[in-house]
Amino acid sequence: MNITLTRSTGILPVLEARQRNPRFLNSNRPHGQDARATNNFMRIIRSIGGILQTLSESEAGPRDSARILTGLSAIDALLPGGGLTPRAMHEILSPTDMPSLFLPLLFARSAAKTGWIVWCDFEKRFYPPAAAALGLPLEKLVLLRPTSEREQLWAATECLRSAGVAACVMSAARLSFIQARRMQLAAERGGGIGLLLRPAKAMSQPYAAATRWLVRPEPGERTLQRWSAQLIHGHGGRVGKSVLLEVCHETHHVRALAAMGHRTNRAQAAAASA
Amino acid sequence: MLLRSVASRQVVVFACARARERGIKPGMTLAEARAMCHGLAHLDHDPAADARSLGRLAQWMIRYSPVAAVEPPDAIFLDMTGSQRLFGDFFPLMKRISGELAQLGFSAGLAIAPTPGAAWAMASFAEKNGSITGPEEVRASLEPLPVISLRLSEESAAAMHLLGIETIAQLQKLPRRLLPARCGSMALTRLDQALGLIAEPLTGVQERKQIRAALEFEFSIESLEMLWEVFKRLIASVISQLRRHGRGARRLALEMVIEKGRAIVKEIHLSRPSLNPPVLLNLLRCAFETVKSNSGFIAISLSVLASESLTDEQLDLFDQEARAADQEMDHLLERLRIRLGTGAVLTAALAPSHLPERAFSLTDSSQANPTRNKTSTLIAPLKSRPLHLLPTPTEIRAMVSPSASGDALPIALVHHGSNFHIVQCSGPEIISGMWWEGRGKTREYFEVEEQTGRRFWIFRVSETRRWFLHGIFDC
Repeated sequence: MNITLTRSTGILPVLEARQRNPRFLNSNRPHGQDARATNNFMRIIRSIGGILQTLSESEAGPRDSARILTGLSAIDALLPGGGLTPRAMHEILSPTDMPSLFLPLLFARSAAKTGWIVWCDFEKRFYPPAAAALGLPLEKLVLLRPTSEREQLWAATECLRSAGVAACVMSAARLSFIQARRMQLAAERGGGIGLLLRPAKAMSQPYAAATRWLVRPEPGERTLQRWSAQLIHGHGGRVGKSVLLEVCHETHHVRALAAMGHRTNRAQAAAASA
Repeated sequence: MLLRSVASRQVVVFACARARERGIKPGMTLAEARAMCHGLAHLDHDPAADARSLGRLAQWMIRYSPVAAVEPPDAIFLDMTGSQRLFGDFFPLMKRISGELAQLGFSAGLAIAPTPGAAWAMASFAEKNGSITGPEEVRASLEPLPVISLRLSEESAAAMHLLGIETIAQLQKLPRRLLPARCGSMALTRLDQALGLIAEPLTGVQERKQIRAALEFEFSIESLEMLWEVFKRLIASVISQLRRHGRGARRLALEMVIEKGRAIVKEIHLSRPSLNPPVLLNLLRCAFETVKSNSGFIAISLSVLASESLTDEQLDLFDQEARAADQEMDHLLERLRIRLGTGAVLTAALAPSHLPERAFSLTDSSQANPTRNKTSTLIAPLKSRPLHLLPTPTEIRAMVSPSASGDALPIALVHHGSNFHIVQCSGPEIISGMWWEGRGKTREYFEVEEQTGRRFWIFRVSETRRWFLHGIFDC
């Protein structure tokens, strides 16, 4: 039995053989006295086979198409495959009471080379000059101001489904798994990336996204603003690692620095002592 | 008043009755007209739009006669032969035409005469509007009219003026063989045409039927499957009619009649002319999703409000991929506009203003035509600006560092009942108000960071010393 488990590709033939001949696996148990245990074992194997099958399906898509490089090597280094997965959703979680726009903006900026950027501005607070200063091409931007969250969800899904859209940014306070999954399917069809901004309390909720990031504000300097962005989910990526993002508000220069763990610790210690 | 630009002068082309009362005449310059009448309203003259409008009016006038011909710049000929039998007599017919034209908002000189030339002359220059001239009165009624009533060019009219010929009667007295040499060949032709010696055939405008498809049902239908089927049939019918004309739909109206006789009308705008059934079906479905109705529909019609010729569809063979992506984007924007409504699908551009809330402009994507890549000449300012800008600044309370002068820095904020201790502060960036609009208050902007790293964009009004939160740097 161990042999079949170590060779992952070997499970499916075994299952097929089992279906053809129900006694195939039981052949090395001549007595067959523990039928219940065998059944349980078979159920586990079947479920593993199912998982492997879905994994191989979902991995087959992104691998043949090019990843989107963010241009910031520290971020790209964390991402599975060295870049953002196209045809997928990416979630950015923020612990504060507003959606964090900086990381999505960087992602959208790098996607803008291949198509249009749709930004859902439900709160009517998005400030285009600041986005332009950070390098988002406004001539490729479509700003949506839907009147309700339901309309926004419809519009974002519709945009993701379209091949002309390279990135669609939407913030959602509440999102069911079905809705998230629907967006992921739309992105798979359309080919762009979906950037979903959610509050940090959605961390424990089910999701359908290729990567998830947690972005926290960090102490900065006079004209230097900092965040830490932690990759909290992403198959094949360096999950759990953080990047320190830095933007200078005078020059609009963006930097990403890898693994500044001590700084985060120090900041947390400072916050705790205060 | 309508204007036309000739070289650097702006010349009056047309003046309304009230302007004419004040002495403003066509041919004056705008400056002269302004001197005569203060506060006059004027618009640029658009001859092409005039011609289009005249063409549409001719289409409309087909109701009176099978032949309606356009005579640029401002006349329409109707061949009334036989029409009087249908409408009673010429007189009630004329009355009816002038009444219905007035309803449409046109005032027109009308005349009925045996030849188009005579009718034009009578309508333009006869003392009495709406004259009816019989075959034997033509010569007599034309004689007192000025020569320009023969639709002559400006040069030949000027030549006749030099010769002292003012009326048609004088013109007729001249020897016929001398006329072409002196006054241009047109004069003789026009005279003969007006008198009926030479025929002047009229080329009537083509009647353009509105392209429309409608289905009525014996019982009201409610199920979506049936509606989709109805939509498919309507689209197929409309497309086959459009294809015959080689045109694609640009604007459609979907009219759905519910049982009590009330109709719901949805307009659908397309970014480029289309004959593509799936695209149209998709748009109809989007439009239908915004319809709120509890009862079923007893009739549905689809009419084409505007169409465009499809000739340019085939041109871009080389650039097909980019074009396909553009088209796909156009279709997406159409669907979004239909569902979200106008004003919800926007394109953004930088605007030249030093006020942060005016440094950008949002335009509805239907006007902006976003697929045409435009290069902005404005460069984003190298100043610190927040990604979230509040639509209106909210007042906050701030604690400032002790300072004798007015340039104290903020050290703590109270916003929504929570305290923020400021650890970083940069500024002030001083932005003066628009004193020329009467809003002269100066704002001093600070970029402040509180302990946990959140950054705010706050300003102090110099005059009142009050603090406002205007934006939040991304957090």
